[in-house]
Amino acid sequence: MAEHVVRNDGGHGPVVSLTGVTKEFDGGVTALRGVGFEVPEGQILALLGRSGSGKSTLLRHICCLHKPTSGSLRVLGNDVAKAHGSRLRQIRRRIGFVFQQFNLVGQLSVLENVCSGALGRLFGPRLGLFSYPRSLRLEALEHLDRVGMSAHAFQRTSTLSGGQQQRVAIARALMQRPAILLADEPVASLDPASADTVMRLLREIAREKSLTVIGSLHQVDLALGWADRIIGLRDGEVVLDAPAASLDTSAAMGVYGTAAAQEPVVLDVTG
Amino acid sequence: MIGFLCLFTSAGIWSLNSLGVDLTALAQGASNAEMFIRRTWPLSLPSTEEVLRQTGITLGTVFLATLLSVALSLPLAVWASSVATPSPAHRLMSRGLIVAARAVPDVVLAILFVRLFGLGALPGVLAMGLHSIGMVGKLYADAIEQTSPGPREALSSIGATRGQRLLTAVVPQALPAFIAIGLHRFDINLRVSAVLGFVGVAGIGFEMAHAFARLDFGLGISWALILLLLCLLTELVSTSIRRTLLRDPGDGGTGARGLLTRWSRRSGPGGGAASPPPPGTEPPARSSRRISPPFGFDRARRWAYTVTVLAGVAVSLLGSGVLDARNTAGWAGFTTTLGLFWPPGDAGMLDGLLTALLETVQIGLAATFLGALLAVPVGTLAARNISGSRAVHGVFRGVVLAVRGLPELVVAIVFVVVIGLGPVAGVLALALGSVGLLGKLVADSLEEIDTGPLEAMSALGSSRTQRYFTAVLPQAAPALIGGLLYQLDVNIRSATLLGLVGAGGVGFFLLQATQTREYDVITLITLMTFAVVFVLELVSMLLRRAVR
Repeated sequence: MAEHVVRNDGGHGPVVSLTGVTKEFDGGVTALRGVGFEVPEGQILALLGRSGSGKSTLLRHICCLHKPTSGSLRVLGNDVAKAHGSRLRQIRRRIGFVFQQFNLVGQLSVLENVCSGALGRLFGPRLGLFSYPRSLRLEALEHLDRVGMSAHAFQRTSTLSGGQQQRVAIARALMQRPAILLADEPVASLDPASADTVMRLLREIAREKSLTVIGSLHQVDLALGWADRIIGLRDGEVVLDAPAASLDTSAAMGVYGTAAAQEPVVLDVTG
Repeated sequence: MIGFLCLFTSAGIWSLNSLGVDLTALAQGASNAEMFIRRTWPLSLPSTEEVLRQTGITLGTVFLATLLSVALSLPLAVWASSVATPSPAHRLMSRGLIVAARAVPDVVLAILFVRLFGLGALPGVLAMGLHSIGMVGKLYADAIEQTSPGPREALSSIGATRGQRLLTAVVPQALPAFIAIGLHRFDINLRVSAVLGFVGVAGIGFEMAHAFARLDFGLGISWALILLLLCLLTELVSTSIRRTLLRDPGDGGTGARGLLTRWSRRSGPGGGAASPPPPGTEPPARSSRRISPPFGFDRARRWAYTVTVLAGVAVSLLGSGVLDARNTAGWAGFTTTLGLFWPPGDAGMLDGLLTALLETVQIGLAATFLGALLAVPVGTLAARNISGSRAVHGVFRGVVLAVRGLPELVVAIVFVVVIGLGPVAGVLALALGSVGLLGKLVADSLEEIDTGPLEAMSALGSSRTQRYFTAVLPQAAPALIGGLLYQLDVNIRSATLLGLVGAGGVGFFLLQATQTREYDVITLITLMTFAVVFVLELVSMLLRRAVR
């Protein structure tokens, strides 16, 4: 899947790298304070932290939906702060984003929603399934096959269950032919069985297509079994950064400020 | 709160007094009713052919006007909403245009366009089309603002451009609201077309005005009744379409539609009932896969709608005579004609104009006061949670809906004929009309109250009336006062037009100025009305703040 990874640095070095990233919003709220870490290609990374700890803000920075107030953020070899307009859209195009609330257009058919994942490489606005070329529709069906949703291709999206919608959202992200897949609380609105399916899908797809995945999660147990590496955030600061295999539940719970571990635990994961 | 009611009541009673609306006037009206019936009976009906022809012209004009306003409102609404605006300057400019469209009355626009193009349908299309932008554009911008931001954000993250986000994420979400608002405006424009007939826009309104001008009351009332019937019919049809549109269909919906959808889903290829293939199995060969939706009920319906609308456009364009070649000549005199309207002048009638303006405000106040006396009980009985029985609720909702369908100008004509020329007829017509709008607002705001206190009151053994005054009215009061002020605004705007049919107020001068071609007076009247409505807007803003 070489075509999926289009990079500006010749394919070497970390996929995402943050140095001292700080974000202050207009209201004076500081969401991120001096966040710094690197993500190597193909890693599955889970962000842990309470709501309001800055997980969503961090993911939106990596997807270039926000820009840091200070510090440097490089994604796929691009300096995000310097990118504008179509350059910025070119970077976003290669980053799939799976949202907690799916963010599909409920009024459109499943297939059209998946096709809309290709908008970044299409010219001009589209409305209606017939405005997408045949080859794109076939590609979209293949992604729906992968997430097990092709039987619902022509159904109105709002009629699907939450778990089904999240699988469609994953297919839409795959339609971007992404290099990075971001997931913001992808299973927080789902029942345990659907949550399990979605998490398994994300991991399998990441391995098949050697995607880098960064997901924010609430459930510590789920994160430990799923990710290669855990980063904990509290009040916008990194308080934990360790390989998942080296952590147990109580150590990871430290992120939530309940147990000990007030000092950041930093272990080498890139070497 | 109490202060507001005292102020409102005293203003209402003062206006009623100075306009001479009292019981004796009404009693005299009742005796005139007999004379009225003698004068109009038997109704002289126009021929069926003529009725069909004029109905066609009216519907065509209103349809094209609404379509024009929709077409112009869409880009304006996109620029006016924060969702897809290229720049704050665009936003300010299009908001300004939308407000301006609402500020210029449709009758004034119609006078301008009749002067340009002569009698016919085109002035109506342009006047209603441009004036409607004020409402349609604003509501469209609101509908765009109200779309859920999630899909937009998702498309941003995909790297979609502004245009792509707009078409893929915003339009599908807002489309039902767009259509519903268009239909609603169609109903309003059909009622407005009656007014425009008096300044020379072709259709039923024109025939009606013409008949009254010849004192052929039998024929005039017949046309009025035909228009009334048409209004009620379209109101019924569009209300039911709107209700279906705005309900988000779940799994296929109910009734025939749901049945058909489920059936087509079950029998169609790749239907929803099929089980997903287990992951890892070979997908079907690329070339043989179905990549367009099965031809089910939804697709058939979409086709039917599209064909109906296109056919409507074609029939309207051909039937109403808008495409008439002599119309193109009209555009040539555009700037000269505009020059006739500027600068504003009073033609030496300033005193008369000011008196008429005061009378207009009084009509608005008196009509809103009387209307509220009628609308509060009717609206209360129409509220589902208060009326107590389904039948009562249903009957009064029906009454409210029926009154809303009445064109107030037609009602005013009936009152003018029954109790004679003058502001009393105008007051009664607008008071009756208020039941339609204010009654609906009352019922809606009562239905929105929190039922907790109501339950608590029943639990401690209170009577129905006690509950109404203690638990229901105080909760709904801010909404009710908001509705009252809105109704006052609507009534004062309408009162400026009543003079067209001799029901008092400044509208008389509007008609006179049109006939004597003193177009600068029309501009002055428009500006004076602006000033009144603007002051009223300020006052009601202050009052609303005081009540909350």
